[in-house]
Amino acid sequence: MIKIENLSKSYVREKKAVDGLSFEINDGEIFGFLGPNGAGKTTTIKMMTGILNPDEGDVFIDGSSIKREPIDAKNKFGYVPDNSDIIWRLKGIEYLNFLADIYKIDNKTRKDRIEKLLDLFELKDAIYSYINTYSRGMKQKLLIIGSLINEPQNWILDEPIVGLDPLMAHSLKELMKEKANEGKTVFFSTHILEIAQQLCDRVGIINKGKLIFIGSITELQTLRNQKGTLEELFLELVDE
Amino acid sequence: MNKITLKLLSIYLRQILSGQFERFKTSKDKNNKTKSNLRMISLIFLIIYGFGTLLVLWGMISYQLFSQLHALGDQKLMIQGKILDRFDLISLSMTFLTLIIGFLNFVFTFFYVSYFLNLTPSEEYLLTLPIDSKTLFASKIINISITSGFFFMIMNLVQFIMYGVIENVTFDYYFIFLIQSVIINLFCSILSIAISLFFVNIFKFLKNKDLITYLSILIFLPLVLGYNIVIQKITQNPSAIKDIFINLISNNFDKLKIIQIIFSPLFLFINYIINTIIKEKTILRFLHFLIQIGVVFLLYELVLIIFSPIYKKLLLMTNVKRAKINNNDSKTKSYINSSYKRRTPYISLLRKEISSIYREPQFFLNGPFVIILMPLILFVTYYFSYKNSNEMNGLISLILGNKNNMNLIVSIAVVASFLLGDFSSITSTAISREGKSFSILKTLPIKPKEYILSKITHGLILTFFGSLVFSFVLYFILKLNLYAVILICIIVLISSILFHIISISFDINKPKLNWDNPVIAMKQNFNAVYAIFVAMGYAVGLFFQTRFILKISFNFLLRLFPLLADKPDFTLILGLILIMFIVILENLIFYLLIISNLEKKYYEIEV
Repeated sequence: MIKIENLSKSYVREKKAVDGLSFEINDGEIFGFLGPNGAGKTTTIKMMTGILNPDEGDVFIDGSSIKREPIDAKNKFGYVPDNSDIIWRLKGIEYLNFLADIYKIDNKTRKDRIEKLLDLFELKDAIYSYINTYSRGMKQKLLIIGSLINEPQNWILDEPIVGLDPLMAHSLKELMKEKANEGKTVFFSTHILEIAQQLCDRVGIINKGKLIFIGSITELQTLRNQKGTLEELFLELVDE
Repeated sequence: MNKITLKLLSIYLRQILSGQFERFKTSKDKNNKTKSNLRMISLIFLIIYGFGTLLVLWGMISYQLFSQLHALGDQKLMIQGKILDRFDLISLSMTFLTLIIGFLNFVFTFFYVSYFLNLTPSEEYLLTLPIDSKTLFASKIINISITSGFFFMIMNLVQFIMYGVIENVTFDYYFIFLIQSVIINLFCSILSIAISLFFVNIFKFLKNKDLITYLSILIFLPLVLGYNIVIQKITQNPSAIKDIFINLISNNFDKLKIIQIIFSPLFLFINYIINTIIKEKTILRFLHFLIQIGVVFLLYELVLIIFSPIYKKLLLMTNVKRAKINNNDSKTKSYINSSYKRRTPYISLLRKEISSIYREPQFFLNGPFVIILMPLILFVTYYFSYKNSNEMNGLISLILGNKNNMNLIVSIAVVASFLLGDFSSITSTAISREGKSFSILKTLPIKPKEYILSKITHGLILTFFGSLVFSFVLYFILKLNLYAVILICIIVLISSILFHIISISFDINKPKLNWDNPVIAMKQNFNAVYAIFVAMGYAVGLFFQTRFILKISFNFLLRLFPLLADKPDFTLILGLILIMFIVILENLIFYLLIISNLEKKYYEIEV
């Protein structure tokens, strides 16, 4: 469960990139975080994962505050960044082992998990190679595998489909559903509204740093009094 | 040169200068202004530190040479059957010195070109625009020539200025000297670009940046060592510089004359400047000047026409390594299986740190390689300077013969050992080297203390190697007691903890994480400059602390046990043990005081 409480962040004075955001994502839920470019999606995710420090508010991951108990909180989620640039000169397998060491995963468990995920994402054949020789899609797969190495209760993904081929995108979507069915929290941001419509139990729409809608797509349709697609509803809402 | 060429050139130059000078724009905020001034001072220091020594030494050589040749007056010398006056000798010496600079410029540019054949994403975008290859290449030629040749232009200028000062030339000559320096180096750079492209076109593997970096080490290392040996020889006996050059000229007289003829429009000018001091022929001087510019322009146009298509072809030629998709062999499988080995987060962070630095040539060159290079330069300089003389051995015996000097030797040894091990920017750029990937680290449950300690440990490993090298000098050359040598090594290692903590605190406060080129993280990082300042100050403090404690402990022990006067090694060891405990205490206190602040700062870093 992820709880966001009055989260705010400014990069320049008097202009808030994220303005007093508060919402909760429950266990077993797939939550889509939507918004136009520059709305504050990545800033919010960066604050949720500890990359940025909020000016105000806090994020609780299964009850652990990212501000006060960062190590505890970080142990409870896996994160896929939007930028797949890993500049360290490591081999794929070295990167995954590094993550496993940080999460203190024993030898047998890490071997089982890594091999299962490598098979799923078809990266096994390239895992001995250096990451800087990977294509964008391969790097994205590696980041996804890395985010699941600790079998997190909460899975946070920032634009995860970008760079993946249709087959892998499908596998990822299936995996997201599988994780939600296991009772885990899946939080992801996307620009592809079809995917959000297809996958999400609830969506949150952010514009100019403020949450303008949170709820299911049916709730959004009821609110707008029309049976349009998510795309149509989104465009209308953001336009206002 | 069309408008687009100029526009592209300005983009390229801005890329280099942005973050260097643009940040110094005057700020209204008083606090920012002070910071900006501080940064400017640091940058000036960085430039002086990086290039100053080389320029000062080059200036010294030029000054010595031209003043000794000036002293010849009207005297004439017979060289290779020809009677030469001082101006002929100056002209030949100038040609010789300019050739050295030109050669260095040529070699440097040769390797530099390969870097420009590897495009950044924004440059890749330029390829999609309707810009013809000639325009693209034209802006690149000028960009490379200016950036790679700038230092050599200054070197040339220094040499000319020294000549001008000694021969007391009029002011207009300095303007000519300036143009001359630019023209000669433009000529060398453009020629080098052409030859470099020619080679890369044949040997495609030369486009590989990493390979070129390692190749350049192989080429530049002997050059640096050779330069040091020459400087050492010259500084030992500066009055002989004229004879050295006359010998060089005599031995290479014909070759130098041929070079002067081949490059007559370039080098005749040197001859001409000198001759016109006696015979004022302004029109001829102007004509030569025009010919020179014409030659460089001709070369530029020629290279542009011949090599534009090759340049475009090389840009488009991909040399990006693709991941090997064949990991089914038994060797790979067994490697992967053996890699599933649990390590503590601290060890894993240390391993990541070490692999990242040693696998990235730019990091290796500016970090650990400095620790290897410095003792090597010292050793080679020592070997060639004193191999055939008893001077050094005499000096060593003299110093060691006087027991009162022991205190001084050990203090110097501690400082030298410290500087040898710590004079690199390993810890002061440790966070910056993570680049944008630092954001990944921040999402992981890493204890900041473990992260910081892994960085400091890596710094200490290098400190250990540096002090180990110096220990050999202390034991084998200065014949110091083995236990004292070991203790010095330990003292240096412990003292370095404090230095590494200070260094990393600079970087943790203001890391440079947004970079595409790894050079920016290390070489263009102000934190490295601050750390150098600290290292120098710290070395001074260490010197006085060691001297003071040794002096006090000697006096105390001798007063208590007068018999120890006959056992200087024993008193020295006791003194060093005392210092060891003091530095342990100092470092421990400092560590405990600062670590929680560093942990806090780790969380404050935003990417």
